[in-house]
Amino acid sequence: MKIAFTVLLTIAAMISYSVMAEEPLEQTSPIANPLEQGKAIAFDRSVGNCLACHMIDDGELPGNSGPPLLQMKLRFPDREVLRAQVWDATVRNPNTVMPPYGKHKILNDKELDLVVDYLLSL
Amino acid sequence: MNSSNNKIGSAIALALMLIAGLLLSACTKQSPNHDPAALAKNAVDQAQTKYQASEQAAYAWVPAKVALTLATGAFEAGDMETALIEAERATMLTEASLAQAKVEQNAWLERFPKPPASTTETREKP
Amino acid sequence: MSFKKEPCNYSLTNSPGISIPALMNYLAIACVVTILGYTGLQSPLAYGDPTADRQAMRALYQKRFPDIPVEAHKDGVYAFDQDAREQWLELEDFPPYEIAIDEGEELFNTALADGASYSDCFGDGAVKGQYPYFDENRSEVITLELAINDCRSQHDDQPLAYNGPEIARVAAYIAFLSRDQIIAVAEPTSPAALAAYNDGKRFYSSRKGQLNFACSSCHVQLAGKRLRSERLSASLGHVTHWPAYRLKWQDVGSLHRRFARCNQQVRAEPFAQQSPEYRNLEYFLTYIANGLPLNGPAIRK
Repeated sequence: MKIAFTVLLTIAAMISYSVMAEEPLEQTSPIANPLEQGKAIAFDRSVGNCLACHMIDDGELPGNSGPPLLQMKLRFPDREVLRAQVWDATVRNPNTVMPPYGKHKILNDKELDLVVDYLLSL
Repeated sequence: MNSSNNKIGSAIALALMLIAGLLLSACTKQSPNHDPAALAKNAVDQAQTKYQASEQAAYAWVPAKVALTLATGAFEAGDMETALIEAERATMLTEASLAQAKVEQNAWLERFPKPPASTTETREKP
Repeated sequence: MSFKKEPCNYSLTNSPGISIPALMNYLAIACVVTILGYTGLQSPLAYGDPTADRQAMRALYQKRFPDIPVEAHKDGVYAFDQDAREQWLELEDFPPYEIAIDEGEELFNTALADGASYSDCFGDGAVKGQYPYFDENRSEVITLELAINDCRSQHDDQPLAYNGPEIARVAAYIAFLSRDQIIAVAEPTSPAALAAYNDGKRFYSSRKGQLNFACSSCHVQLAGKRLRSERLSASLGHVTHWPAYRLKWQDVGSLHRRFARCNQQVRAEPFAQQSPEYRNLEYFLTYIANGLPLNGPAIRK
């Protein structure tokens, strides 16, 4: 009897453990320079494509539909304000043409943070 | 002796029944939620229903359809993990597109160029 | 327009100093304004009438491009981008769409299933200026491409695929014969015609796709600006030159094919060519372009 009881308890414990252990582990990127990563996302046509509208740093053939991205730390002393702007610029200006990168899942949270950090380095 | 044996016996029986009952309920609850195939199917179905709603609203998104196609393809190929991830992605994107449809129902009107000043006044009169 | 649903039962108490009839008057106006605001989607009045829309669009582009006559927008970005215009004119010297026009002519003169030909429907073929129009009996917008397939079925032939090469060639030949006709879409006045027009106007102004762009985002708000190195054109010239030979396509293709591509570029699922959505959009855009000359087929990037 005792053995049967122990076996049952063990099974119960194993099941509850398997239920708890379903969260995936956060993966950390091996690439060293986050600013380079942010720049790559901002310039890539199929990802951020910021150059379509904005002049940025040494980006080739930038558009002029949006303002040049210069002195971003002066213009956005509060990082969260800039992040919110990239997330959904229509909150501050309903008429803006800028795509809502976060709200519409064009970039994921990690990409968004990398881009914001890169922009603040300009 | 007899009675104490009986007591121990019935206590063990009771305990076993309790544990068995708990396990049974845990298992039945578990199968729809944690069986990968059932989970994936549920997610794919939900994504499909939502996507169709966005199509009907004329606000379907390309990336939502891409994710949905990947999800159904993975499901048919037996790759339940990919099916689940892509289906959830499709649902998330479709929810954003339906939110867009809701906003645009009225927002577009404000966006249309207003007539030159001379004709503005006659516009709002019924 | 429904007056029933809206809450107009404002209290008449606590309003000293205003006579009751004046108050009623005020309330009536307030209610109507409120209703127009709420039921904007059903009420043609809340849209502004088509004439006002057309004036608004012309005024906007006149202000944006003060040195360019409105009619010049028939050439799209080549109306205001001088460098691009010169390259474009060079290309037009040896137009790559000539073969398509020749093939279109051959198709136009080929007998349909019952022995008739397209000329039984379209006379000498110079008819592009008559399309699109709103057909009151069918209660829908008839485009040239739709009329081509109608003609085929009237003469017992199979319809052509709207995304196939043949219909674009027949349309290219007809467009070529119709060059310099002045766009003159009849003002939509019946409720059904207005509904189709307004549907097109709503499509034009509604943000779509993951990137959240309306047609008007680029071609009203940003017209004249650049996306990367490409200038954004004015909508007045969007319908003048179809079917166009796009260098990207290496072929002539329809306006609706271009609509679909625009939708896809902002990551919105496109609609089918000749779907009611795109026909209504074409109807709206062509009405707005009234007064401009037709100049298709033309080359576009």
